[in-house]
Amino acid sequence: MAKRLKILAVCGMGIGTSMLLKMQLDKVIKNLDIDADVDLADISTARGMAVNADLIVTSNELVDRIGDVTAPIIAVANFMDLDSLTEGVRSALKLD
Amino acid sequence: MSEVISFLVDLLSVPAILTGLVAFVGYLAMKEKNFSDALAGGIKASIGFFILVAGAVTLIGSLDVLGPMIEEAFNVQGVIPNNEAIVAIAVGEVGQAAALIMVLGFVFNILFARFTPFKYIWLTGHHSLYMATLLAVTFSVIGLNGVVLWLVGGVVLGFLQVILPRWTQHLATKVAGNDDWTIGHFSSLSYVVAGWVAKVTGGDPDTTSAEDMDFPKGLGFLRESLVSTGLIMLIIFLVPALFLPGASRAALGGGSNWFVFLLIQSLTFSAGVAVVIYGVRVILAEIVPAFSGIAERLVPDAKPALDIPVVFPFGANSVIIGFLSSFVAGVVMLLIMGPIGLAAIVPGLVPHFFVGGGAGVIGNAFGGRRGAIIGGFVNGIIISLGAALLLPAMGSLGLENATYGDADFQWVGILISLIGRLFGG
Repeated sequence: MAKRLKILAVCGMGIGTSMLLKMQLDKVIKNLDIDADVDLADISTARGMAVNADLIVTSNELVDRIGDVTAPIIAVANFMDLDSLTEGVRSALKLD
Repeated sequence: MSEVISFLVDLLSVPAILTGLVAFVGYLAMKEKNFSDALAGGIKASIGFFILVAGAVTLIGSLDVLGPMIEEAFNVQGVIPNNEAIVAIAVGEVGQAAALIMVLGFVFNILFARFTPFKYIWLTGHHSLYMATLLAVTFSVIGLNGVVLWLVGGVVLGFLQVILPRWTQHLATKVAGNDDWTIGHFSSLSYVVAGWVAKVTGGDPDTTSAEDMDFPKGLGFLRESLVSTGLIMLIIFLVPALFLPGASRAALGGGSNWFVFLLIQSLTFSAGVAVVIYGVRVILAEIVPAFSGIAERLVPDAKPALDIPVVFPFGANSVIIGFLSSFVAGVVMLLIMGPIGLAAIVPGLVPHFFVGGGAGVIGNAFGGRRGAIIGGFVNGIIISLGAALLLPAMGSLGLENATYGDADFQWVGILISLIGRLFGG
């Protein structure tokens, strides 16, 4: 059994949009049957927290501000589009 | 027996415990969570509340330096519109009522979505907490307390969480091109007025869109609230210091250099705000998913009302244009309002960025680049005036040097105060 994955949802303050991302990601995790936790982060602390993350999810216009991290980053344009988020998570985590 | 009751009353009057209990019960109500997950969630939510209060202690110290300084330099009350600061301070006084109103607000939100045509579920949890706090403060000021305060506050919060998304639905539909979701952000007044003014006075959104322009991306750092708060607070501390009499300025730091002292104060304020935000995050990370899970089961056909950055991907240039124009309006209002006897509302970068940016995107959708400029500017005027007019509605908290930054908190507070005056004679 693989270890529990850590996903980081990032937005400007780490309380609004990232919460939305977390709830969408929780659905994706359930659909894909992955063992993972989603944490929230604001853009200022995201880079430090990214060290322990297996995947980072944020909105389109914030991607550049996260900078160089080893974990793959998914940039979300439409927060309600669960299908493309699912596809993004599937390919970023190389699930198949 | 009476000892048990008084123990329970004491326990539940601690807002942190109350919040933790709500998170615990919320998790138990979700089918997929087990007891230990629920317990951990409850403990985390409780600690989140104490983190919030710790942040308040930090930032009040620096506000206590700033207030008298602005007073002496300009002879006006200087007020910083910062939701996190005022909420954290207010929670120290009305924490129990605020926590209960937030929870009852969620319950009534679900009931209204289930049984009225306003089928919306509000998912911007931090704004629910901030509005619950505002309702606790302003309803207390006009004389409500106890169960009446909690119920009235909860009904009003639940109602706002369905009626305001209905009010902004046409804006979200225009921006996104579909009506799958709407805006759930307590700045609805700014957005609706911005959209309307942009439509009437703006250009053609199809041929003059701000998104067709080449625009510098360099201001993206403002999205980092830590950076934007730190930057603006340094300016806010330095400007009045420069207008102080030389002797007062030199005395600021006690024995140490006044500039170093103010630098420390401005960064301390930002640190306090960061701690408050962290506390809010810890509380909400436990409560909002539970609320959302329950709501989805009970009202499956409701639409989500979402935080304003969801519109940002539809207008990256418009966000910056709206912010700049809103901020300019804030500076203009600062210069006008002191002389006409209102409090000096120092333009805070956070509301001008998020709300001004949102108003810019909406303005652009209705009136092209001219609409984006006008939309942002209108927001700057609204939130500056609203912040000053809200102060008397908050009673003794209105004397603090912080207040709410978004339009809906402001007009709701002002309206409650007017209603109180109408009935209180």
